[in-house]
Amino acid sequence: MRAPIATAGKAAIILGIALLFAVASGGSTGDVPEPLGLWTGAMHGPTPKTLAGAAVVDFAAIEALLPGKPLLLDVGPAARKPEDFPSDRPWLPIHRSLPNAIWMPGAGAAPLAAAREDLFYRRIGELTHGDKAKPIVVFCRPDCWGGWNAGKRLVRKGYTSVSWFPAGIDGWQERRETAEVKPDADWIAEPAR
Amino acid sequence: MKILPLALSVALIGATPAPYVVAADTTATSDERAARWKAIAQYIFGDRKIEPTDTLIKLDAPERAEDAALMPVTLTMPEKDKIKSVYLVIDDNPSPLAAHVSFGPAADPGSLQLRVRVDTYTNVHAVAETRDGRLFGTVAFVKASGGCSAPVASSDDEAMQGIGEMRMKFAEGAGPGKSMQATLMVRHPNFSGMQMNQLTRNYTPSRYIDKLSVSYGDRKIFDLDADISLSTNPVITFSFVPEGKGPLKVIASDTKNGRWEQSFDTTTTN
Amino acid sequence: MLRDAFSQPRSKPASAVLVTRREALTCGFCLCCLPSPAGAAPRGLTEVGPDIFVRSGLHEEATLANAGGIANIGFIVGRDSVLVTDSCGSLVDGQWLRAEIRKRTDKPIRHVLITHVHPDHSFGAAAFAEDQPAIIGHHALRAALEARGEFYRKRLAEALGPDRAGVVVYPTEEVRDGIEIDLGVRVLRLIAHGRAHTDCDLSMLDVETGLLFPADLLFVRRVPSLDGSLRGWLNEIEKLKRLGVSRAVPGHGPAVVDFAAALTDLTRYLSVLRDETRKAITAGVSIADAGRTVAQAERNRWALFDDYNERNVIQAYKELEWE
Repeated sequence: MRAPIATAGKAAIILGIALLFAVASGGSTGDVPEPLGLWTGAMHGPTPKTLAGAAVVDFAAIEALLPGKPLLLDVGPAARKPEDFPSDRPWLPIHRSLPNAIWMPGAGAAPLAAAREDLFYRRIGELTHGDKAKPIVVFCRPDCWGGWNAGKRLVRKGYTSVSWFPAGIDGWQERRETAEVKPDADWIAEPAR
Repeated sequence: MKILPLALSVALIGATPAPYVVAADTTATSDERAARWKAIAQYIFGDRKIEPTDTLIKLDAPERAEDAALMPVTLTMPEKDKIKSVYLVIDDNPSPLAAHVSFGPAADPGSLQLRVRVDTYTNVHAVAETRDGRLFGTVAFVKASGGCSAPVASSDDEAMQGIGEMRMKFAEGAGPGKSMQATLMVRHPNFSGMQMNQLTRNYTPSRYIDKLSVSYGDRKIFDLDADISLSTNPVITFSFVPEGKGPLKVIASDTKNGRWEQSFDTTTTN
Repeated sequence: MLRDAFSQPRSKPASAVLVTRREALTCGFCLCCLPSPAGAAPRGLTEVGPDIFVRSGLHEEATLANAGGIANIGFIVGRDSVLVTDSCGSLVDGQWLRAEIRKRTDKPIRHVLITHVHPDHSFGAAAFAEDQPAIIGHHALRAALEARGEFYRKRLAEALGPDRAGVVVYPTEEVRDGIEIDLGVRVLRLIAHGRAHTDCDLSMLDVETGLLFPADLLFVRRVPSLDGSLRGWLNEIEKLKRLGVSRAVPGHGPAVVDFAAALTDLTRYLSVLRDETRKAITAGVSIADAGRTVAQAERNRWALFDDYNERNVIQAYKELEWE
């Protein structure tokens, strides 16, 4: 009944099943453990309740943080123009986010090319003026791994006041107005992977 | 569901479209929203003035959409004889012009229902174009998000099943020469190009219905121009006057050269 | 299942804050398997039948305030070996479960079942790797792996490191319609279901005690959430009814329930949803109006009804309008 499979292969099966099930079910439920590294599966899906090394915050906690002027980091995806979009229809993508947020679309993707990851850390370093204790709130939307991954990257880099806001833009706009935010110029200047 | 009349203060600035202040949404960035609408209106209508109205066109949409990829919208045009076409604009969608419906001689432009995708909390504008070339608009604020990137089905293959298949359902209560209400259903994934295939982590290429033409006999009922803001499996409820010989015919075409044509017999109602 | 009925987290450590209903709704929180922080006291294992252990949550009685206690992981000890049903949560949790098993028996852990179709219920399986168990899943698993083999190998290489990923591996046991597993005078029957709650629902029956693990096919007290096929779900319930079992471990709800009673409630809700949605479609009621009016009589009978029913109606409407 049982096939002899090496331990590494077992773990591989399990992860394969895990990824596959994520696909097949396509939805969010259950509690998701923190991956050992970054999450390299589908970006849309159930996320963990925790992020080791960071605080997990809700709207009330964000509001309490705001007077301290944290760095608000939005890593949500940018709109993509369909290749066959007619030229005579308006294509006017607008990204609405927490006011004064820095938007680095795709900065939560994993894996990222080494150059992109370096750029990410460089930009964060600049935006925090080299202060590893500077409070940072990272987010995208619910059921999106981007915010989690970006938060993990920051924790790994030694930032000590990282907060992850899983409800993201949706949690914010339920109570407050959003503001239009343009993508960070340096981040998008280099072509994305 | 309440119909939201437009209770606004309007500043008519020369020939530019009037910016709207939404009564229920007086927050710091309502100026931003007004500016956004102005830019969109400029793109679609040029310098034409849009006059606010609560009589010529009414917009009925749920304040909060349970499913951002399927938000039902009802447009009501009480003075239907005046109406030439209607525009539905979802301000903060990347493709804001969700639909443009031009009515023909067989149409009863009294009401129209559509299902659309909403990408973020936004104003939705409905603009009616009257036969004398004027524009009248109304607005509502809706809460939904992620509609343009929400996955269509668990696989692209599943989403494509039955593509182009159509149904037509007729409401009761029409007599000869009287207006008849019908609901057209078309199977089509309407891939926006912004939906990520969870398996491959590539974006599913866009493929969406860009035109729907509905006619009765040789008289047009309406043409619908749409793009990615229209929901998967579009469902459109409209009214028409079945004068003369039929049939009721629908031609649908999409951006990948898909073309489907189907006729329906109006005598077999329910 | 896209959104679970649970939308309030249990009491959390100070760093995490309570989430509002709407936020939790959009975040899709579900607490069926919480990872325990390292070193936390183990939560209760309930012996729901002879040598059948189910891990229930901190709270016995599920309430809106604490959304406690959904038990859907556990293990069964046969004469010769142990079967684990859904290894749950994190590696740490899986290790905890394995330790709990080892407290009670030395028998080899030969089977790990993944009844719950979400990845968060299989991570703990890694804790059992050294036991080299058979990994059992729905037959749909294999086909998808075959279609995407290369992709998965790459992803696994990224996740585990290229040296540990190896070639594409398949589940050791797949369930097409049903299989039987014998743990030694302890037979378990697995049933692969058609599209119902999701695409890969697997239920398990312990023949000796007649205890059924219907996983997400059974919701108790919390309003079911429809994300697959309504008609399919009702069909699969009929299949389960024919098993004639008396007790079940639901995917969501108390540790163990009277099956007939629980099914009566679930079937009633799904039937009302189906019948009233059909009526609405025939009567030309719009999808938005239907969302507000269908199944309202069920409102007081289910927790979190207001959070999920309208969406259920819309899913049902989308499915049934093409009939």
